[in-house]
Order: sequence, then C-alpha cells, then structure tokens
Amino acid sequence: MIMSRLTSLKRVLLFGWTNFKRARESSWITVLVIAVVIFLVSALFLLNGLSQAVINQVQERVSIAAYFQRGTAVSEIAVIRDDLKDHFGDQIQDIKIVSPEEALSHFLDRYRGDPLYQRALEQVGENPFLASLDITLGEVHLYAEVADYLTQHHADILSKVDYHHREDVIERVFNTTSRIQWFGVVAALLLTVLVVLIAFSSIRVSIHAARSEIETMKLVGASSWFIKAPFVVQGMVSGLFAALLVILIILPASYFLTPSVESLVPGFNLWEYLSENIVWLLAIQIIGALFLGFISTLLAVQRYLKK
Amino acid sequence: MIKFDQVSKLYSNSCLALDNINLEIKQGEFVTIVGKSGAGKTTLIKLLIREELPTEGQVYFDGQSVLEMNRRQICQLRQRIGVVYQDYKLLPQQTVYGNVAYVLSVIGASDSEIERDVPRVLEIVGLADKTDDFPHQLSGGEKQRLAIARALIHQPEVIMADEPSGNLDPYNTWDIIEVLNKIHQMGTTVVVATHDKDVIAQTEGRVIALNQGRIIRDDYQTRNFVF
Repeated sequence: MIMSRLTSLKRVLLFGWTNFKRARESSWITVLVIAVVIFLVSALFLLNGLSQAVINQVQERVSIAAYFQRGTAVSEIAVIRDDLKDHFGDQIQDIKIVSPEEALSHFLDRYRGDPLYQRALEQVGENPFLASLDITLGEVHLYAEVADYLTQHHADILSKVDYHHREDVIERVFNTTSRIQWFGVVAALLLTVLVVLIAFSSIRVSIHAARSEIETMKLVGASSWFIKAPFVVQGMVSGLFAALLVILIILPASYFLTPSVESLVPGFNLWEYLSENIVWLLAIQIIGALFLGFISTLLAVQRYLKK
Repeated sequence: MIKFDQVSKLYSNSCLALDNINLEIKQGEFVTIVGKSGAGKTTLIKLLIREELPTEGQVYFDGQSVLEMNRRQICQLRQRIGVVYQDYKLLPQQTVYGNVAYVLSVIGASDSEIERDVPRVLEIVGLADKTDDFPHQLSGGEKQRLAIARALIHQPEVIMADEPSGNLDPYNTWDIIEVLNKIHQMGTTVVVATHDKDVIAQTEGRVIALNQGRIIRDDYQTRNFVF
C-alpha cells in the first residue's frame, strides 16, 4: 500500500515536471506572472523598511524639552531623568541632559558667523541658557502625559516644558507619518490583491488550454487526484522558478542600489536591511510563490473536474 | 455484460439521439453498431462510460447501474472499458510511449509492468519506432493505432471503437480491423461503431443497425449488410 502510494506520488511529481518542461511557453508565462507578484511583494517589503526608516528619522527629530530653574544641579536633573525612565519605561525612546554650557555651545555652533546673535549674547553678558532634559517618545499622546507628569511632580525646580508650544507640530508629524503608514499598508494590500488576481486569471487561461487533456484523463479513468496533482506540481514548479528569478533580481539590485538609496535616505542601508531580513524575505518569496502556484492551479483544474 | 434498458437520450437542442433502446451485449461478443451519421452510435458509447447521462432508462455494466455509480466507481468503470475515440483524444503533451503508459499509471501498474507491456503493445499496433514522437507528429492512421494501443494496454474487459476507420485509407482500415479481430479472439468483448461498409464487411459477429436513434435491425453478420 505504502509502496503504491509512493509510486503514485513519484509519477505525479514526474508528470508535473514533464508537463512544465513540455508546455514551455505557457510554463514560462506562468513563471513570469508569479514572478511579478513575488517581485512586487518583495519590493513592498523593502519599501516598508525604507519608509519605516524615514518615519523613524522624522519622529526622532520630534522631542520636547523640560527647562530647569537657573542653578539646578545636573545631579538633580539626573534624578528626574531616572524617575521618568522608571515611570514611562520603554516608551521613552531617548532622554538626555543638556547642561547650560552644552546649550550655549550648540547655540554658538548653530549661529556661528551670524553677528546679530553674537552681539545679542555679548549684551546679555552671561550664559542665558537653562539646563534641560531633551525627551523623545514613541507615541504622540505620551508627550502630553510626560509634560503633565513633570509639572505635577517636579514643579519646584522646573522652569517650563516647551511641549505646549510644539503641540500642533508634534501632532501633525505623528498624524502624517501614521497616515503614510496606513496608506502604505492599504496600497500594498490592494496592489497585492490585484496582481494575485491577475496571476490567478493567467494561470486559469493556461489550464483552460489543457481542458481537453483533463477531459481525456477523466475518460481513461484517472481519479481526480491523479488528474489535478500533476497540474498543481506544475504550478508549484513555476512558483519555485518565479521565486528564484526574483531572488536573482532583488539581491544584486539591492546591492548596487544601496549607495543611491543611502544618499536619498541617510542612515538607511538597503543591503544591511536586506541581510538582516533575508530569512523573512526568502520565506515570503518561496512560500508565497509555491502557495500561489498551488492554489491557483488547484482552483483552475477543479473547475474542469467538476464538469 | 452491457445492458441498455429502455434508454432514451434527448440533447438540450431537442435532438433525440436515442429513442427507447433495449440492448444487451454478452461477454466475448464482437458487436458492430452501424448507422448513418447522427444515428446515435456515439451517444450509445458515451452513455456506457457515463460521459453522458440518459434522459430516460437505465444502463448497466456487469449488473450494476452506471447511473448510480459514485465518482470512484465511474473511474473503475472507465478503467474496465477501453475506448477508441473518433477524435482519438490523445494527450498532446505526452509522447506515444507516455500516452499508453499513462493508462497503466492510472490503474496503478508497477514501473516494471509499464516497461514490459508498453513496448509490446506498440509493437502490435506498429508504432514501435515512434515511441518518442508526440501526437502532433503522427499521421491520422498512426494516431488511430495509438488510440487503439491505449485502449487495449490494460487488457480491459470491453473495447469500444467509435468510427475506427474515420479518415483512414482502406489499407489502414484493414489493419485496424485486424487488430480488433485479434483482440476479440483473445476473449475481449469488442464493440465497433461505424458507418463504413468496408468495416462491416471485414468484421464477424453481431451487427446492430441504428436509424434516427432506434434499433432497426439486430442480426448476425451477413456480407452485404444494408442499413
């Protein structure tokens, strides 16, 4: 029994492979159609990494500053920093103490060569900057919470929190990035559905061409499984070739495009991102291609078996 | 072995292909069904292998109603009947060898049985030197012989040939009928549907004449059969 099942399986695999080789034209059309789908999904995967990097960079630039009264020691500010870390945990992406001297140095660096600011500083005569905490958070609603927490618990040494001045800007940045993310997800889903449907239709057309063959197989007494399995194997072989084709395009293309992408989005290394996620990408490509080949041929053949 | 009990077949275009057919074919018989085009010969074959369903009546194979068979039983029925189709119905992606071997694969024959039997049958039908050719590379006569090889490779209990001389020259027709006669002599039930008088003249046994879906004559072979 096991031997006959194995023989049957071996024959199905052999028929599938032979059919793939013999129906050269339609096989390669199927390979190309599946390859387009897989290429698109892979490109969306890489674009997701790119857009995430851009969004992170934009969000990282959004921060609030808590200014402390003149004369507040850095050690006191460090206590508040640790308190915030304890209270908000991982939600704080970055927090750093900026001493009055560092603030002055940043100011001088930024307006070097601008006599107006230089003169204004000279007139003040002393360092006008206050020590501060620069805080970057992952979620937009946390900025208000942190600002409230600081004013409620550390009002004694706090001078001001500049969140309320930046509230609109922060919300706009976060809303825009979250809208971009949603748009990306919806566009990717729609595009994927569209190309999957195109792939389904073109595979259905190639199976339609084999309908008289399916009819003959039925008439000589072949079981449904014995008829559809070689077509499904043929579809999966097409999927495997499609995945291979896309991998052969994506890998060298990513390698050569990395410098150009990095110049457009500083800090995003495409090749590094690809290397870090290669297992996922290969899994998506190979499993996706096999599944697409499997399900589309199965559904197409099933249609003619029912008749 | 085969029984048509009050069978009628009305196609959707209101064409009455068979009209109240009562027919019994015994095991080991050589039956020639004759009639003009459209007399209902092909429909009779289609009903037996359940390619079509009758509008009325019952069709039996080996005592079992063909209409009441499930999918698995239909596959088994088709494996027990070898059919030579008028339009050959060959598998275009398979070679001559592959077309014949496919039927053996369907019934679960072992690799060694396939390697042993296929060349033998191709030798019998005279296609031993065409094993690697594809159907589109064969002539009409070769396709017909390949269809016969495929129908008899698994030694079915019944062989049905629908217009086996269609598109063949007299020499090839004689060849094909000789092969069918040999199969019959080995004990297989053979049913030939034809409108070709030369074929009728070359066959021995029972002749059933159909006209407009009705049996008008059921007799044993006479050389000058008129229908």
